[in-house]
Amino acid sequence: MKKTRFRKVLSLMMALALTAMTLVSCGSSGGTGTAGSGATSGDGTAASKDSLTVVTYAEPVGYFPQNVNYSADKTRDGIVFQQIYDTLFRLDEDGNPMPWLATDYEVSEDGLEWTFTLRDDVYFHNGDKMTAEDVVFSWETALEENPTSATSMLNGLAGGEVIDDTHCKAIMSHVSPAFLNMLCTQMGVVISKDYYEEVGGADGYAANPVGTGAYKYVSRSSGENVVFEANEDYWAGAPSIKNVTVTVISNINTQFVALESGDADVVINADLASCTRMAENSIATWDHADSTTRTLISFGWANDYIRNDLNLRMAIQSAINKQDLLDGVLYGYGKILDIDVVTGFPTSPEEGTYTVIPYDQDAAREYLANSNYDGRELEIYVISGSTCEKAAQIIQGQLAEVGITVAVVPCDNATFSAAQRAATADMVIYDNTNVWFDFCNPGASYNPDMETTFTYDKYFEGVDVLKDYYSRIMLEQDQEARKQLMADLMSYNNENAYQIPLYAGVNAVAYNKNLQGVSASPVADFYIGNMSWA
Amino acid sequence: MEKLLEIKNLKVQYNTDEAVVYALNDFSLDLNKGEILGVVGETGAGKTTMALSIMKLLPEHVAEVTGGNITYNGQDVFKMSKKELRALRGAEISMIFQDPMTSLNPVMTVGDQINEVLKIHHPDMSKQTRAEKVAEILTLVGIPPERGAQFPHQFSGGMKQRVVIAMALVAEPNLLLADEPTTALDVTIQAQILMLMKELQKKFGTSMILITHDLGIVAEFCENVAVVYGGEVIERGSVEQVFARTKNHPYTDSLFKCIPDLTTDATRLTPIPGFVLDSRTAPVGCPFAERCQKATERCVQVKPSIHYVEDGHYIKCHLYENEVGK
Amino acid sequence: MLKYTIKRVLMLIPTIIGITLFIYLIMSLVPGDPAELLSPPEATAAEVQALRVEMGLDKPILVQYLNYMWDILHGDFGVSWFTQQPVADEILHRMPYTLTLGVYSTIIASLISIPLGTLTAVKHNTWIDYVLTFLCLVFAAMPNFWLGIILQINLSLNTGWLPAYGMGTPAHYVLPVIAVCASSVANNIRSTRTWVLDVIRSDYVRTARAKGASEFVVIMKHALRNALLPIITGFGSSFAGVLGGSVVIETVFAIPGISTYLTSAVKTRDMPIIMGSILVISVFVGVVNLLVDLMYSVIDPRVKYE
Repeated sequence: MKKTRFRKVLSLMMALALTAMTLVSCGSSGGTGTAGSGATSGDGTAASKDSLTVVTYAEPVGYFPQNVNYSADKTRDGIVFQQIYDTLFRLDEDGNPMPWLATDYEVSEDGLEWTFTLRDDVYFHNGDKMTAEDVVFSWETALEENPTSATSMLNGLAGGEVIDDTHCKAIMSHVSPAFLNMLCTQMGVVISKDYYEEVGGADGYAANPVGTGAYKYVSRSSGENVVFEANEDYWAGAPSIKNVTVTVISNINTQFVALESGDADVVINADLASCTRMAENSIATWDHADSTTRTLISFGWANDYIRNDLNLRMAIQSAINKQDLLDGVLYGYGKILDIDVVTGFPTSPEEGTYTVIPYDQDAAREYLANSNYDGRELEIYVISGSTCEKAAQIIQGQLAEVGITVAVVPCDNATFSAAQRAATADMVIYDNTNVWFDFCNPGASYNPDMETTFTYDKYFEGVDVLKDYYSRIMLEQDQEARKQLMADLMSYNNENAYQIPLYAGVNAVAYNKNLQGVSASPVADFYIGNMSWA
Repeated sequence: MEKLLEIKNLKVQYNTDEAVVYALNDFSLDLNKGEILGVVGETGAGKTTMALSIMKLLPEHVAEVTGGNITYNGQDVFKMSKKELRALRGAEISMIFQDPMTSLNPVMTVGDQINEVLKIHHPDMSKQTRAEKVAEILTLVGIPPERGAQFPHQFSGGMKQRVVIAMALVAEPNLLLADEPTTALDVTIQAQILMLMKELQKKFGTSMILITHDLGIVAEFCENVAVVYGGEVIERGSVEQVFARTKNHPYTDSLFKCIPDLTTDATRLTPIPGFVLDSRTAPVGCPFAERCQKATERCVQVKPSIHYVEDGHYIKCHLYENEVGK
Repeated sequence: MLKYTIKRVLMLIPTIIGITLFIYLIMSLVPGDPAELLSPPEATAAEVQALRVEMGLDKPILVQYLNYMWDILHGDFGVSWFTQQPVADEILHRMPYTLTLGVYSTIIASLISIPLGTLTAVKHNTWIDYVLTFLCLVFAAMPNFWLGIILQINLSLNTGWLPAYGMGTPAHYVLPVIAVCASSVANNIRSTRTWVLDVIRSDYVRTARAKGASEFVVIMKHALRNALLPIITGFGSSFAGVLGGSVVIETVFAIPGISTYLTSAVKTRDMPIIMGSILVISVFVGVVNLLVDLMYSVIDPRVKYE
C-alpha cells in the first residue's frame, strides 16, 4: 500500500515537471530570442566591431508606416522605419529638409503642384529598382489606408501623378508651404508597389518589410528584439555597421546597466536623470539636444469656473516660475518657453514680437483677488511617472505660494487621454511633440480641411479666433507674414491664458564612447547608417 | 524482591511564562520486578510528570529536574547518554498515553508504526520476521492482522488503544507505564482493554505502573497502590491494605468517601473541601494540610515523614508518627 | 479519484467564466475608450465612432463578452487591437518564460524554505532561530524590484558573473529567480516553522520519541510528513502569485513574459490581450491548484475524494 502511494506521489510530481519542461522547450524553440540574447548575454563581452546593440524603451510597432491605425509614435517606431526606409527629403542638423531620394523639386505658381526629380540608382532590398511609380504608390497608399493621419502629416496632399521613371508630381488640394518637411516624416517613406502586391497588402508588408534604406529587415521577436543587417547595395554607401539588434528594455535602470556593462551600445530616448548620473570613467557617455517637444498646461474648458474666469487663469500664469521647473525637472537643461513655439523653426516668431506674461507673484495675487476663485482645490492631471508629474508637483508649490490650492492627480495613459478629451480635468500637463521642425501643422485640430472634433478646446470662447489664425498660417506662403501671424496668435493665447507653455525638453542619447557618429536629434532622428566604431 | 525502578526525592518544576509550577516535590517511589502498581491521584497531582520523567520524555525547554534521581535496573537514568536513553525507550520501558485519538501518527499505517519499534530496537531482524511479529502482536491485542495496512483514522477509539498497547508491547519491555489508558474510552471498552492488559502482563511478565484516578480500576487490576498528592507519594501499600480502610492517609480516606454509596439513601455527595493544591508554590509542610480535617499547626509547618503502619504499607502523615512497622 | 478530477476540471469552466466576465465588466467601467485611444489625435468624432462600430464596441457589454467567448470556443483568441498581432501566438511565445520563472522559483523556494523552516522550528528560541528569523524579516521587507536592481549591479555589472537581463540560457534565470524567491522564501520559512512547531508538540510525536526513535527520524518521518500538508497548499498559491504578479521582475530583467504582456495591455485597454492572458493564467492556476489538491489526497490518507 505504501509503495503504491509513494509511486503515485512520484508520478504526480513527474507529471508536473514534465508539463513545465515541455512548455519551456516549446517556448524556446518558438522564439528566436536566443539570437538577440546571445549578443546581450550580460557578461561584459565587448560587441564585435561591426555590430551594434540598440536599447529602446518600447517595442516598435510601425513596420509599415502607411498603415498605422493607432497613435503613431516616432520616438518609439523611428528606430525601425528610419533604418529600413528612405524618404524623399531628410532633415539635416539644422532642421532644414535636404534632398535625399529626391534630388530636386519645383513648386507651381499657385502652390498646388509639386514636381520632384528622383534618384536613378535606388534599389529596394529585394532587388527591384525604385521608380516614380513607387513614390506615387506610397502617397496613394497613405491617403487610402490612413486618411486621418495622412491629412495631418501630409497635409494638403490629394494625389500623385507619374511623369516618367524619375519624375513625379504631387497634386495638392490646398497650399501647403511646409510640404517638404512633411515628406521627411514616417508618412513620407517610399514603399515598393510590386512587393506590396506580391505580399497581398499591409499585413504581409508589415510582417516582412522591404524598403530602400541603409538596413535590411531580418527578423523580430515580440517583446525582445528586432534584427537588421546592412544593405550592402545602399545608394548612399554601405553602412559601416553591419549587424544591428534592437533590444527592448522598459526599465530605465536595466537600460543603463546594459549600457555600462558593455552589453548594449546605445540607449535611445535616454532618461535624462540617468544620463547626468553616469560616472566620468564609465565606458559610456551621452549627448543631448534641445527637443521640439513642448511641455505645456492646458485648461479644462468644460468647467465653468475655469472657462469664465480669465483672472484666475492669468493668476496661474503669473505664478509659475519656469526656471525652477527647468532646474527641478530637467536638471537645468532645456529652454523656457514663453510661447508655444520652439525657437529654430522657420516660423518661430522673433522675441519682442509677441506678448509675454512674466513671472510675477504680486501680479498673480492681484489677478487672484480680482478673480472669482473660491478657494476650491483645482486638479492637475498628469501621466503617472512622467516628467510632467514632477513639473506638476513643483507648480503645485508655486501656486500655493500665491494662494491657489492645487492637487496633482497622476493617472495612466488611457485615463489621462479620456480626461483630456472631455476637458473635465481643471488642468493637464503634457508633452506635445513635433517632428516636422516647422510650425506648419501644430495639430490637426486646427486643420480647416477636416471637420474636427476640437474636443479639447471646444468650450473655449476664443476657439473661432484660434481656428481663424491657424487656417491663415497654414496657407500663408510668405515666410515673414507667417511669422507675424504666429506672433499675433501667440500674443492672443497669452493674453487670454489659453494655454501656458512651460518649457522645451531635451532629447538625450547615451552611447558607448567608442561609437562615432552618434548625436542627439531635436526631432529624435536616429540613422545608424551614419555611425561607426572607432 | 528485586528492585526494578527506584525514584528518590525527585523534584521537577515547569518554568512557564506566567509562573513556575512545582509538579513533583520530593517524590519517592520504588517498583519491584513483576509488580503491578497503581498510582492514584487527582488531576495535577504529578502522575504524568512522574511517568515522563522515568523515560526522560519531559518537554525540553519547559521542564526542569531540580533534584533527586531515577534508577532503572541499577542505572541512573539522568546520567544516560542520548543513545542509551533511546535504547531504553520502547524496548526496556514502554509508555501508553492517555488519549489514543492523538497518539498515533495519522499518515502512517498502523502496521508500520508497530514495525517501527522493531526496526529501531532490533535492526538485525529481517523484514520477514518483523512482519510476522507485527501480525502476532496484532492478533494478541484482538485486531485482525490484515488491518495492519490501515490508517489510524479507520479504527475506533478502543481499537486505537489496542494498537497503542501492541506498539508498546511488541518489543517485550520490562516496564510498562500506562498513563490513564482507559480514561478516554467508554466503560465497556474500558473493561475489555483492562482485561487485555492483564492477559498480556501475565503472558510477558511485564512490570507495570498503572496511572489512574479511578479507584475501582486500581481495585480490579493492581497488586499495590500509591496515592499521590501535591507532587508527593503520601501513601503506599498493597491494595488489600489500603482498601481495608483501617489505616489511611486523611486524603485517601476522603477519596474513598467521595465514592457514592449506592446502598445508602444519601442526597448529597461528600467532596473534599477546598481546591486542589496550587502548584505554583512548593508547600513547606504537608501538601494536604490546608484541606485536611485533622490538620494541626505542625502539619502546616513541618513536612511529615514516612511512617510504616504495617508491613509494606506506609503513610506520610504526622498522625501516624508513633506507628512502628516496616 | 478519477471522478473527482473530472469534476474539478469541469468546475474550472464556471470559474473561468466568472473571472473573465468580471474582468470584462471591470474594464468596461474603467475610464478610457479603446476606440479613442486607437484613433489618431486628429480623428473626427465620426471616424472614432466608425472605429467603435468596427471593433464591436457599440454593442452592449454582455453581447461583446459573449461574442468574445464564442470565438474562444472556436480557438480564436483574436488579435491585439493595438498591434494586430494574433494574441494566441504571443501568449504561447511568452507563457513559457513566466512559467519557467514560476516553476524554478517555487521549486527552489521549497528546497530552501522547508529545511530551514524545520530547522528554526526544531531549534526554536535558540540563536539559530533568532538569526534566521531576523534574516527572514529583512528579506521579506525588501521590495523585490529593489533587490533585483541590487543583484544586477553587484552580481552582473560590477563583477560580470551573471547576465543582467534577457533570456536565452539557464544563467539568465539566476538573478530573476533569486529576486522572486527572496521574499517568498522568507515567508515560507516562517509558515513552515509555525506548522512544524505545531506538529512537534502533538501527541504522536511524543509517542514516536517514547518508542526510542532518533530525533532525526522523529522530525523527518513523523513531524515533517504531517507538516507538509499545509506547506504544500501554500506553494500552490505562491505559484499562482508568480504567474500573475511577476510583472515587476519581468520589467527589471527585461523578460518578455506574460505578466508584462498583460500589464501593458491593461494600460492600453487592449481587451483581446487582457482577456486571453487572464484566461490562460486562470486555467493554469486552476490546474495547479487541482494538482496540489490531488497530491494532498495522496499524501494524507485521511483525505479521500469521492
